[in-house]
Amino acid sequence: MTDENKAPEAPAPESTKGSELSRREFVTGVGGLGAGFVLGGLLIKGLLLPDEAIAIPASQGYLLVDKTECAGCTSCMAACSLVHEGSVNLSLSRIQILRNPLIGFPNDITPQQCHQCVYPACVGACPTGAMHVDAANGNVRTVDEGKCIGCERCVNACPFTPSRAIWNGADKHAQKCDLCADTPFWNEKGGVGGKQACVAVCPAGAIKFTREIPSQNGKGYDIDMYPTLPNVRGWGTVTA
Amino acid sequence: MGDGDGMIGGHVGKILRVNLTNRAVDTIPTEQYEQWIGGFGMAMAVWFDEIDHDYITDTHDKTGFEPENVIGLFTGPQQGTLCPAGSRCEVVALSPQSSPRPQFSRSNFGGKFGAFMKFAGYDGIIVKGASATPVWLNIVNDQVTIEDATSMWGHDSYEAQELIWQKLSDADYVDWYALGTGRDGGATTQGPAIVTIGQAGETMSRLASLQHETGSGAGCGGFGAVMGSKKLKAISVVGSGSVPVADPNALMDARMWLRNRINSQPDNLGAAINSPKPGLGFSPGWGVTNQGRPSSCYGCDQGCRQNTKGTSPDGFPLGSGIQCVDTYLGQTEDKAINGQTTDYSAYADTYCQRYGLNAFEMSSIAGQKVSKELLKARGGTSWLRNLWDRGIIGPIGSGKRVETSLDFSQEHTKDFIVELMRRVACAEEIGADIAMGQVRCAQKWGILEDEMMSGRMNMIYWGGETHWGIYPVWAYAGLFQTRDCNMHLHNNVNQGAVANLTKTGTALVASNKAAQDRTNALIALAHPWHDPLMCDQSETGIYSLGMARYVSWSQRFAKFWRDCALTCDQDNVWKNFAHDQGDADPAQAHGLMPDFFTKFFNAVTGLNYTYEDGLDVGKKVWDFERAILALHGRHRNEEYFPPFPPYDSYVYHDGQPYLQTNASGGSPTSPQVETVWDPTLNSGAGGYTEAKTEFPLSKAKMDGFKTLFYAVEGWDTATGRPTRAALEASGIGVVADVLEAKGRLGA
Repeated sequence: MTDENKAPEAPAPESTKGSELSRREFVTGVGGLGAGFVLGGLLIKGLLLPDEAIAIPASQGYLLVDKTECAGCTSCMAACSLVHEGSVNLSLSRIQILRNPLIGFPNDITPQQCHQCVYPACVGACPTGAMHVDAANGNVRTVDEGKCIGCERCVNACPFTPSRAIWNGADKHAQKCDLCADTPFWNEKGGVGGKQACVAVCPAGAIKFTREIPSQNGKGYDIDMYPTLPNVRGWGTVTA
Repeated sequence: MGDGDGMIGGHVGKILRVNLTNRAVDTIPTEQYEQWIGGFGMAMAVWFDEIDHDYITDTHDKTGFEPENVIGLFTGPQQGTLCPAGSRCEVVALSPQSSPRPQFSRSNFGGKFGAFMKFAGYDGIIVKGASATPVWLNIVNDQVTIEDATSMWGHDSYEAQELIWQKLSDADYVDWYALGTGRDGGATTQGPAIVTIGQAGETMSRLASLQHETGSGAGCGGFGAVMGSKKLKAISVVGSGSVPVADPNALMDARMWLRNRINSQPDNLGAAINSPKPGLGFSPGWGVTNQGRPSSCYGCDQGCRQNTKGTSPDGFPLGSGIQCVDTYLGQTEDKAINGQTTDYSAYADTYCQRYGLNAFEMSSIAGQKVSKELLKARGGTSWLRNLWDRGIIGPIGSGKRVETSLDFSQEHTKDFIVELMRRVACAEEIGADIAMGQVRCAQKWGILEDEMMSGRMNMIYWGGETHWGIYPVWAYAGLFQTRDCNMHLHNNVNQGAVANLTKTGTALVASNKAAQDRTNALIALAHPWHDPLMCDQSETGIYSLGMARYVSWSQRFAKFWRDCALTCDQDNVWKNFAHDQGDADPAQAHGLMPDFFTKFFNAVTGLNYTYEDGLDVGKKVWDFERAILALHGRHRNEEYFPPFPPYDSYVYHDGQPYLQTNASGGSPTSPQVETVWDPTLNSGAGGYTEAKTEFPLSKAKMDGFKTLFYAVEGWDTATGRPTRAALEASGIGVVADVLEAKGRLGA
């Protein structure tokens, strides 16, 4: 296997719907290899890949967020829609920042990014293959708009709230985070080998792109981006 | 906009018009007003067309509470895109705070309201008439309804917003929710943006503000009272629409250019080049009880606010989302009395927002955030405490001129300050008098003349408190319009550079390189004159042609690039005329000007404006505003400091210091926040230095200066009113027709 196909050990996927995901382990692009296979220096343990399983390649890129650093400016949302659609529309942003100013810190601001799930329920739900794994773009989970029939099964299948797959009512197709693989309105190369608009624009530096698969235990996508800074800023006393 | 639809990029095409008397709701095409671009200019033009001109002619017998008053909320093309300060919203109306008569004025607020107005499909909202019963305006995309607000009348601004959130969708807003019928009717995860009044607006206090979220607000002008007079409790807006951008690639490039130039980092969020407050932006914190995160208005890269953990007893956030002047009511006094900021500050500042009061005025009335001279005249206390100490205010039964059950000896407790503000907002007891604003309150108590002549009150902005430290151009600009011009975008020059200039012949020489570089940068950008003596603030310079030009240029700049293109005055501070510490390159002295303005504006609008083009539109806006003031009755004979005849004859005594020509202050640790600073001085104490020059003003020289200034503007020097030639040159000959018909046109 070439280096490009190597991936760290696929961690135990999130059990979000009581599925059998937790009992399975997947390996990028491989099915049925035996125990002890080493990828990228990590030991892959006990591959149990049922015959009927389809090996879904893991994405080569993920977004992590530091929820205590997000300043709630929603510049990421504006940038996302701008580079994809050519206009700004928060309802078409593929990253959503939930804000409630009438709630105090830390639940006042909650970034909700697509997880590029190791087992993407949106891909599994799509009857036409519109929502698919894009091998040409680092296995990002994205929509082939030409194939989308508008059934919104992807939207309903997303295990997260709010759904990361969204419906574009103006252009009549589903869409989701593609890690900026297709951004016609940005003079930068996007995708897993390039930049992401939300990462680039965030004034707080609260979003990070990584190639490593985050832990799928529900907490792997939250990160302390600045460990030397306190997560909760204390202003303390201000002397005269 | 490049796609042949004729619309300027950033505009969404409609202005919402609501008549609360007959409940009519319709729209006006934005295209009819697109020459004004947006913000204040567009708001003023629409306001002028929608209001009865007889009502605004000679307003001495008006209050601003009449149903004939019109209130406008207008955002700009850059809002709701990816521009910094991406959600400003201008508010205009006949202001009930103005003294001695209501005048057309403006205020402004941030947060997310402006952006959300655009997402719903509106560039502005104009409200006319008055409802007989409390209502709120519910805007969901193109669905606009006037809802009953009886159940939220009497609630504060936080409570009212929560009541509306609960009505519109799941109160937690954690999921997508539909904004219309069917999946193509639009959906969002975002809660509505709501602007509301607190109890202060309901009781029509002239100190009433418009409030948005927990700490955004339009404080100046008493526009909350205008809403209250119309029984309009709140405006809520949410939408799923798009804001068109002329050149999306260029906009993203501009944002990256800014990002790289500013080099924001989380430990420095809110700091820009040469910001004097690196760290958590502009927001001072308080006490040990509040911890949290920096937070921002929509789209902004500055994070000048903070969201905190603390809660009030009723569970709403305490001290959250509040910044700048809105943190000063409690803080200055807290530090002075307690040596540090405590929960006193958190409660004072939070409840000022909740009751919907003008924090700037309240900090003068009930706090210590005023100029050094004012504080000294008041014996080092708040205005009210000084009146208590002097026996003007006393306990019930004391026989004092003003009696109250409030015990001012407990002034510095949070229970006291919250109760004081409750009484002001609810117009109870002493609060009913204070709610009229300082000038009218002092008039009622029979102490106005004494307070003004003693220097204990300094209301130089037509009924508004003077800024705590001002330089001449700031003071003059406020005098020639209707309010504190709030021009922080010049701070880096006026405080750090101009203060250190010495006139030598026809040149101005600075005492240090940074000051010289910044001065030169300002002159280079001072279209159309580029007069080196524009920065002359010497004893003769403050009456000079150079100063007249400086005032004119500063307003052309503010009226367009700040108020129409719509940027944030505070955000602009960090981007303009800054000089990197230690950077010897004079080319850096201009900060990010003018690119900061033109890059974003042109990427969004597609208009390809130069910086100078914007100043020329600013001149049009300034002329238009001046014409409206002429209609009210404005005449050069009343344009003095302070503008309250017959007191002006006292102010100009020989040797009577009145106007600080430079902001004076002490070290950065002094209670007076205003400082004059020079980053390159090696004082060993952070580079701060005190510069002060106070000159007594000469009335005769003021008269000479005004003549120079009116001539610079092309206005009639006999009256100070715009001439037909000036108005026609600005493309508003129709306004000249109105003035002529009313006998208010300059000759």
